[in-house]
Amino acid sequence: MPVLLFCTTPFTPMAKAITEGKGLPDLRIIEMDHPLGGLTDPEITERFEQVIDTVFRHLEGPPL
Amino acid sequence: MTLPDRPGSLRERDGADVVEVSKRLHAAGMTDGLPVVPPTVERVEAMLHARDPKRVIETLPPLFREVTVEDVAICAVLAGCGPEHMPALLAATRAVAAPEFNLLGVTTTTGTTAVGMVLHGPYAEAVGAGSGTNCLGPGNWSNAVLGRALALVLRAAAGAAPGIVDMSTMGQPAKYGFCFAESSVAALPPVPLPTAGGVGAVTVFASSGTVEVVDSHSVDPLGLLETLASAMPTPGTLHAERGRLGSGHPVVVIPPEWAQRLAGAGLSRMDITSFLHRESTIPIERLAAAQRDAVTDDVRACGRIGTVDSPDSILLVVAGGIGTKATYIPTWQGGSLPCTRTITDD
Repeated sequence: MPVLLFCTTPFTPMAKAITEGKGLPDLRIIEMDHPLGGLTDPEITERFEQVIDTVFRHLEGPPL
Repeated sequence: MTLPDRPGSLRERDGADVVEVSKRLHAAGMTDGLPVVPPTVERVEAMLHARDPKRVIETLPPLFREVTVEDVAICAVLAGCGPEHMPALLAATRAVAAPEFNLLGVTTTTGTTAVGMVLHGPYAEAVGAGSGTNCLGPGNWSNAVLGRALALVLRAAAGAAPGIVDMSTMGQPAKYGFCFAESSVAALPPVPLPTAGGVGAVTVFASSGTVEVVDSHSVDPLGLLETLASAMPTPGTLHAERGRLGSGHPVVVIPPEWAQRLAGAGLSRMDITSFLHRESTIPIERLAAAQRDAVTDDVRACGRIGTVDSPDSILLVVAGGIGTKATYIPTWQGGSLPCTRTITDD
């Protein structure tokens, strides 16, 4: 099953540290602009539009 | 801030300068910023007390490290513990690993939560832990060093480095350490513990702060409980999907004088927690509109939102000195249940 990890940029170091701790150092991380909390629905959509091409590229690419 | 290496085989030379060691270990991400006791060979050996240093206690989030007896012993030395504190620290290390405690969430959240611990039974008395005046504050050696040692286990051994892994927006003072003991001479029976045997027990909880509850006017003991129940629902702690304010599993600390009056009125622990469960609710109109819209259908239909999952969900502890001030300790609304482990001599 393909798995991607989504987080906003300030949480990337944490995400990398935890995934390495779990033995998944190559888990692909999708970074999004911060914050997500308190956004309107259109603003949320805009955030995802910024990364959707990257998401599909990872999902359609070869497995790790 | 640096991601700390596990304490592992850290040793300092005899006579090492406290300030130099403290600054160096802080730069390595291993301390809380306060001075530490240098972990010399002699001190670590005394703390290990012939235990196998390489024995793994638990695999602890957030970095899923295998935390050994040696890691815990070094944190104990750094915090100022004596060998008599190791049994409680080992039990607390096992307790925070319980899945329902959700240590990954507790150590990585942007929330303010700090891990607190309460000691139960003869062990607390044996090490002189404080259950009396100012027991939640400074002044008691065992409370101070045990609370701090557990915080250092989470930071240095488990890897909850502030700013990298521990992303708390503000944190709270209790993240330096939070430990107290249950009173052994209260009018109410002690906390019923799910574990038997050993020399005592320790319960860990994810504190989101402390709320002072004062009622100098109520003569009727039920008035005290009404005041306490009114202090518990806090709209800013909403967990909409669970339909609760806070975690649903709060800690309530009442002083011996309250215990005396409540027990004197014939109220049992279950009577008290049932009352608090029933009465610690507020109308959903107290929530902001968007928060109100987010709650569960059950809550919306009821029109009120509560603070406690069930009477058994309240950790009711008697502690404190003279006076009629109680303390409400909301626990992390992200989801963490208090967990208890027996203190043994291992």
